[in-house]
Amino acid sequence: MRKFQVPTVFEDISVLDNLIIASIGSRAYGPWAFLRREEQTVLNHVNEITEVIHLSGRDHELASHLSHGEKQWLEIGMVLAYGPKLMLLDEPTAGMSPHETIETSEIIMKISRDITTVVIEHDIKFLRQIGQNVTVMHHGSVLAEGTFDEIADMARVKDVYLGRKG
Amino acid sequence: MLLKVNGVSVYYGKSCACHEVSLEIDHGEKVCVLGRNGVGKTTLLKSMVRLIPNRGGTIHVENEDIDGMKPYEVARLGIGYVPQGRMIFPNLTVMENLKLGTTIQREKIKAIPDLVFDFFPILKMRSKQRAGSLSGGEQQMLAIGRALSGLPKLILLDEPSEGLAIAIIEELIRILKKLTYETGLAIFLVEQNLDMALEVAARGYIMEKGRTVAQGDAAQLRDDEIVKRHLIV
Repeated sequence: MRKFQVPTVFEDISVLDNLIIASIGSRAYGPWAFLRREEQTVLNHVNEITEVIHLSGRDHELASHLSHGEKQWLEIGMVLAYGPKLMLLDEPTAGMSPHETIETSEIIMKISRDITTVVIEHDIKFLRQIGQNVTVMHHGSVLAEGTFDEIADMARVKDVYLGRKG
Repeated sequence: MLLKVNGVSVYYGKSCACHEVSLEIDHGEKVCVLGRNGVGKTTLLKSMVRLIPNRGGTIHVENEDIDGMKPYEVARLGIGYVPQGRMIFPNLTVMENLKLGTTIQREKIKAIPDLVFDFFPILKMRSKQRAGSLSGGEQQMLAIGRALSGLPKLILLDEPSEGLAIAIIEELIRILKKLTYETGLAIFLVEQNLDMALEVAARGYIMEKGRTVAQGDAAQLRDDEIVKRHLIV
């Protein structure tokens, strides 16, 4: 499952309803859970997710009332509701405040304990907080791979960041 | 002050691309903005010429608030804009591209100023050629020449070094330095190429995540600690 750079949640319905819609067709219990009156299973699942995405207690708020950062988290939650094995995140912190960025790294760290996660990001501070393996791309090919500290030490990475392409 | 940006924020929807940015450029000054990819440099520049609206904050050109102005009105106040990727008109000739730059001049009879060909003689040689047939470096020179054709007091350059070979970048640096020295033109340069930016600019700002996080003269911005913290990984 992937999420996009610009949040695409359903604005006119609640946080909870967004997550329930996303969980229809979930790999965890399939599309028939509602018909089989397994509502409670679905609700428990969705409640767990709101906690992970730092939106617990806000279930009944309209998605349109959320801040930009919170919408991004809701969208991550919607991806989680589907029960993915692999999650791809395209610039999850774009346009966020520094505080929201830190919270996002906490959310992603929590998720990545259970689900393999690939994040595409510009934000170096964020990548430092996450502290995982990094692949640096430049002009469509892989320039370097390694831990954050290894990458930070590489001369060719520095050169590219300073526009010394040679 | 020639151009004063005060607490300007820019949003794409609810996503914040620039947050309360303040900076100034005086007559004849050479100033740069540095920052990694995606920190809001181009967004800031576009808001300075009203190509995108700011939400909050003010932008003044010589004490005139440009809020609500159209981009061509800002150009008429003496702000030339050289966009990222040159954005010349490939199917027009070099001369036609330059003539388009003159359309914002206030005089009835509009002419391409001599200094365009003085500083970029290659444009004279190529004047009848399709602009799209020029090399990358020549297209960059054309984009600068087109901005100069509007008789600006300040030109805003968005990543002029992008995609150019080192020898061409050096040529561009030499011309820009000569241009500012001899004409008193002010330059505001947005760059990812640290060496070029600090070669041309006397002082600058560093942006990170839509905010200015450091400022100082060229020597201060070359400081290893600052470069490491804000520009490299």
